[in-house]
Amino acid sequence: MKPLQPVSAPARIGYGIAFFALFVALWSVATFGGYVQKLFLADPLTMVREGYSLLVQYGFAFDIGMTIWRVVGGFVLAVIVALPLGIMMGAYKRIEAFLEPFVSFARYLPASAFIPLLILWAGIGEAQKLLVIFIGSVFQLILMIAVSVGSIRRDLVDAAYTLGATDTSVVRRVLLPNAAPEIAEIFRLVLGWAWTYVIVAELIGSSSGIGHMITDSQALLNTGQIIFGIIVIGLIGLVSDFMFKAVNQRLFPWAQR
Amino acid sequence: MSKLLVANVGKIFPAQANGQPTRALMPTSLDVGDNDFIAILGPSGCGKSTLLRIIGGLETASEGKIMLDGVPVSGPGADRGFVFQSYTLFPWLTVAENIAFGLREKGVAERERLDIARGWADRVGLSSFVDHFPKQLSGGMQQRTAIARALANDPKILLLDEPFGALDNQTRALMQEMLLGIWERERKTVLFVTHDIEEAIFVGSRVVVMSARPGRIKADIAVDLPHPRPYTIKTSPEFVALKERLVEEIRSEVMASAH
Repeated sequence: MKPLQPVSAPARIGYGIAFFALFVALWSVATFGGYVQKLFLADPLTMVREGYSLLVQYGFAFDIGMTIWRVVGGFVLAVIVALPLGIMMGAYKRIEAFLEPFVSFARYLPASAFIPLLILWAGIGEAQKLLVIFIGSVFQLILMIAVSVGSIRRDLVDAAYTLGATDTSVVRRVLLPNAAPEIAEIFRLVLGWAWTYVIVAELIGSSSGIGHMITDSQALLNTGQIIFGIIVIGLIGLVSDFMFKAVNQRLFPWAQR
Repeated sequence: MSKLLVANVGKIFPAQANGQPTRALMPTSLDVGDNDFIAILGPSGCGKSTLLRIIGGLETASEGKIMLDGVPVSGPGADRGFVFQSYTLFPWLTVAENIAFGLREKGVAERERLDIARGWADRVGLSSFVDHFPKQLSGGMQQRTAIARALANDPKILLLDEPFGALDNQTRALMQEMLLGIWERERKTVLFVTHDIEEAIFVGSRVVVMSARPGRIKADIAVDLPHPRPYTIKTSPEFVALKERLVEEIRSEVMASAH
């Protein structure tokens, strides 16, 4: 293998699937071979069976829907707040000087540690779940968007000014389009993080969602269901990643390598 | 009346940490007539780009003033088109949209904008590339688009800061001819900064030689070669004589800055 040598598209897909197969194979050897007790780790077939019964008998599809709704809802709220703030911070250094230290501080506050407080404030309903995701994503989004808006080649801004651009049109017509592909990439990343917050939020004080199912299964020592829940989260993440990448390529053909 | 008047414009860069302030440009005066094509020639670091950037409004002068059509210049504006040495096309816009960037700022309607952009793309030989993105263009094509973008705004003066500096020799020669052709047809007022002596003589109707840092104008030489100038003029005796003279002027400056 040569460093950085490209791989053809079909081969790339083949390699990707091969590792999934290898993973399942190792898992099968460990469980069917009796190296790991069933109590600790269910085998793949049990997992599939449990998953089927979850979906068919216990209405797990509803839980999946609830979890997706919470992630998307909390994330969209965070984007609505973070996008204008991040753009202002990236474009105007005075606003950055004002907000950046606080946002950097708030970014390190763990969203999961807010759960007891949020239950106190917002109860155990949907508002609390959305708030956990909101707190977990909004500060990250603000900072990353600010950096991407602020990182522009100085000569592009100079060029815009010599073409008669006003200050606002430099922000609207130069800083924003320049940062747009990176902002889309930031959304993809932070949405992934939001998934970890939602499960934590659902582990505590929830009556629906994937995280709720996982706590229920823990009480019953049903590792097959737990693993199925975890794998469903992974699959949803994979699909949303693909969708984001496809949309980004469509929207920003000029930024593709 | 002169088109552009540069009166005692100087530049001192403020001191860096525990250093002295640096003077990049001695107070410099320059009188640019309407339709002049002035090549500003000097060794690297002589402050010629600083002078051009001050005229373009991208840097502030420490002293002196600049008048364009009798109006003092402060800050950048659409009346002074600027072409940079680096590639500064907006990567998210097509060639046509790049050329039309300034027209949109002026509020020109979309249809008219694109008509003008197409016209300019045609004049710089890029009519079949209007829908391409900058990353799909060669360096020479990108600089041609940048020139078209500046000219589509119909500026009073065109400022070019070593626009062909990053191009290979063959492309550079073709670009010089193209730019000269545009000037001969459109009769724009042009300031062209370069460190290439041959380039300065070929395109300029006047060559202003600048000294080593801190920069000042050392010589102001009229180039009385006829127009249109074919590339073969570069081997004519007049051209060669002028080149020899400028080589001597520049050489002493490079020696001065090296010691």
